[in-house]
Amino acid sequence: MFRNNYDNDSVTFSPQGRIFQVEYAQEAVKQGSVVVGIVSKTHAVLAALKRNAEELSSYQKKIIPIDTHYGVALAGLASDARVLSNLMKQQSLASRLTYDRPILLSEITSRIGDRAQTNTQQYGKRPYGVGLLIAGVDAKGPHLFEFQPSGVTHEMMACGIGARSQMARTYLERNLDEFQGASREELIKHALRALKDSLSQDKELTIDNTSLGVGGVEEDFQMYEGQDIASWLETTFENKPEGGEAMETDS
Amino acid sequence: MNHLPHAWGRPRDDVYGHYNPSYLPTSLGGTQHISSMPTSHTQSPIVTGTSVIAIKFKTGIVIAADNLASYGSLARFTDVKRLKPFNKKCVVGFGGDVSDMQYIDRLLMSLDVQQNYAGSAKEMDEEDGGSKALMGANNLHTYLSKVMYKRRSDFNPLWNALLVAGLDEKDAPFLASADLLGTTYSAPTLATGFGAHLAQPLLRNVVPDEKAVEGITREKAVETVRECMKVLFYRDARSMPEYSIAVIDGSGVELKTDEKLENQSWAFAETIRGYGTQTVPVFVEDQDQIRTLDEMREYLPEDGLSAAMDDHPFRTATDPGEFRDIYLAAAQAVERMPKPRQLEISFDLQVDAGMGQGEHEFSYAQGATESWYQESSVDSKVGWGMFPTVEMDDQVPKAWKKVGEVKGATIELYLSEQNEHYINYRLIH
Amino acid sequence: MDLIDPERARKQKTSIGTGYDLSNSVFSPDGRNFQVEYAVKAVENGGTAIGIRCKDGVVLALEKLVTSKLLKKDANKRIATVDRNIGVVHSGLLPDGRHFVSRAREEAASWRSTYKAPIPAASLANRMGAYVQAYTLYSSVRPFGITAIVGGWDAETEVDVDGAVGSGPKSGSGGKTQGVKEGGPYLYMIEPSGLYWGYYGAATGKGRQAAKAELEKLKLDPKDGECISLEEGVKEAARIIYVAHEDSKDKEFELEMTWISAVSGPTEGRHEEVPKGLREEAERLAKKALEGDDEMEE
Repeated sequence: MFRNNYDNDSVTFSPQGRIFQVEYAQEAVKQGSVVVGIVSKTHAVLAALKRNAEELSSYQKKIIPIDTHYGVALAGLASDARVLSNLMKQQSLASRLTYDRPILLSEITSRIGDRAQTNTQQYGKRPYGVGLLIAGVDAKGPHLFEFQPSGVTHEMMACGIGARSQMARTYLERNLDEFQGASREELIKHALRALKDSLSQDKELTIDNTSLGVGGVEEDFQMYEGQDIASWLETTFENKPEGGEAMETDS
Repeated sequence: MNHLPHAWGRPRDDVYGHYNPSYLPTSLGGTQHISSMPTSHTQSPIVTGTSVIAIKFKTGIVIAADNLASYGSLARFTDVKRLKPFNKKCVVGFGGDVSDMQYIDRLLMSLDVQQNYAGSAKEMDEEDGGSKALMGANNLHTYLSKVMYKRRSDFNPLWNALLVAGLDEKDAPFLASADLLGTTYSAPTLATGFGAHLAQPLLRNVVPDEKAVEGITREKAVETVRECMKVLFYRDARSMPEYSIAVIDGSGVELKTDEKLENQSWAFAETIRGYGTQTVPVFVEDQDQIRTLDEMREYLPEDGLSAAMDDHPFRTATDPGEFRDIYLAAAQAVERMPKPRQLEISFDLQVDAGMGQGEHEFSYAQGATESWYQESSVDSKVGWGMFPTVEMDDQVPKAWKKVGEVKGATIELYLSEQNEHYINYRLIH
Repeated sequence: MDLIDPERARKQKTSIGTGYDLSNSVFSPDGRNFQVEYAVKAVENGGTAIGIRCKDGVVLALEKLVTSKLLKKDANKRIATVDRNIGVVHSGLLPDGRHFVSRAREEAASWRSTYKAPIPAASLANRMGAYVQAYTLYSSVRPFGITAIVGGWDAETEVDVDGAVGSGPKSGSGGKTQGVKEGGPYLYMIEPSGLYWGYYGAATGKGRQAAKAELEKLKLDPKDGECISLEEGVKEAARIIYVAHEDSKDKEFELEMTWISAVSGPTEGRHEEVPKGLREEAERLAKKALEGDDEMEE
């Protein structure tokens, strides 16, 4: 990669009004393994593909429960995500302590968005190198938010970020209409299928490399890993030829 | 807790001895030089509001407070609104220091501005389930109690007693208090200040527990609160007859700030002979005519007035028969008291002007009152028709006999109005 | 570094490569701060934002480009409430806009705590102008990549002091002056340089040129007689955003609109979203007006 005079720090605009350091940080998100999130009228689901550094190492954690009503999935620098998730945990507890109220997801999302923005406007700081999907249920119902290193946040119906996530997003866009009315089980299956679409040819979803997080109305956010997701993987992908169900039904 | 805001938070003299004022400013009895004095914050409230009362009903809450801000015993400001609405679902009622109330009101204002960053309450209502996303009264109460506790932990309390009334996140009625110590409490009826002593029992008569809330209508709750405001005005010298009342339910906050007490009756004031228990002898009939208490019990009606006395601690007799019954019941009550008995009773005997002897028929079986009446010295001095109030202390009728003393009972006895005989008695244990 | 060479800079028409554009707070030999100019470039790519100051209120409107099908519809509000009576719409870098809004909220809150009254729109514009300008002064920060339009209604009626609990004296010292009228609708636009002006109609973002041309056709200057009403303003704002969107017709967008009326008006002096019904009506009319134009062109 050749040098560009305007990409040394996050306090320099390029002549086109771009901030390269921030854009580079977005690239770090694309290096992370894929995570997917979907909401229905009653539930919010996160699904993530975990990676292990080598055969004998453990898998990197991808979904972090923050409060009883929501959790986040990360793609990118896990240590940056830890900083942000700690902030989110603190703020969530503060809301419960001060107001006896679970923090609104829109509120916590904009808090970390604001925090990330300061890293893009001051010398000596770098943008966070992580993207987050924030999913759960608050007083206004189920929600899914996307957070980017630039500090941009959006509320989504469904979203996928991380390596090869375009494939997941394609699946999500094709099935977008079904999500709103989907049941808990259906939503989980959709998330797993979207996740699978982003996998490279030689990979499979297994109980070791897959994480699920589910939140719902009157239902705490819960993580599912290992044997707990075996039956979902089985029922979602049984008797399905390579390429997944979506391709078949659509074409 | 003492009902005088000035005494809140102070050590009691009877427990801790006289307050050592040496470190206070010289104007308050201090003896130290200003440079060596410790930092001190508010030691007492200045301009104060009195009681706030509130009661739950089936679908909401009623809360009220009068419009007075007192400066000591001076009724200084008479148009002070002590109920503050918050976001369509809550009302906060403030007792105690008025400037601290203004400070807290600003906190509420900025909290409201913050809550509206994400869209105003009006917009939220348009969305499905919008009002559930609003801050509930429980959330507001938690916030305020943290503010109060923080300030008391800084030794810089906000000198208030607050009631937070409204609907919670699930739109159920919510009522709780927080005070200058950061203490919180919740109940289906609440009252601060003097109201905790005077109104709370009356409110509890109507809503004894959470279960009873279901049976209370909005109208009944409003009526109860208005009645309590009246009692508070009768008996609390730092109160006024103009007040604010708010009803919060699913349809929002209905706040009226210039209500006036209606149908006041100060007749009861005539009977007040100072406060506190008083020791007065009690009498029964003369030895010649007297029956033993056992004998007197024969006169009791079958259903037993003693039970009635327990249920209705205040009662008025309007005919001679009832006079006798109550008298007997009182005597029986005396008998029930454990020994040694110390009866504290005040008797008032009033006979209005215009009653001639011949027009009176005192047909009580015991004849006690009659005999006293005839032998009264007032009788001979003033003559028929001009009887002032006669205190039993002064005018002990011959026909009555002292049976003992009972502590904590008060019997007030009247004869008044033409041919109508009233006995008011109260038993206070 | 030999990048900063005045001779070379003077000879070059472009800022690029001179070295004077690599750091904030540095003037070029001809007196320009290139980093600020680059920040303006960031704004020029943003969705069109406009503000209209009407007779009885202010309208703020924003063309919100839909960057993904997966976005939740009608969520992701971008026009922010700063204080009860003030709204801000911005174009450019979204997170910078949020930073601007948080600061504006702090300013409004601090004004309230000092003066026990809401901040006038003019004072907020002044303070935010100063804040934004400060981000052009230091090499340790970069300028804001946004242009913000601030709309507000300063109450004409006497506003209670925050926390007031009684009415106060009715006459004499501290009493009220009868018949005094002040306040009204205000509109300001703050640029990345910190420069700000008051406007009758303001536009920024990608479609600003087209929007300005439309704004200039409206009766907004009180000197020209009666200005348009708030309700007309809402309809014009919708139409102008639709006109401004013509150049990027292929992209989908959502229209976001807020308004602030007098205390006696529909929003009771508060900054609120334009009710759904009215917005949809305005959009219907806007589409109709555009179709009409197309027909005339053909």
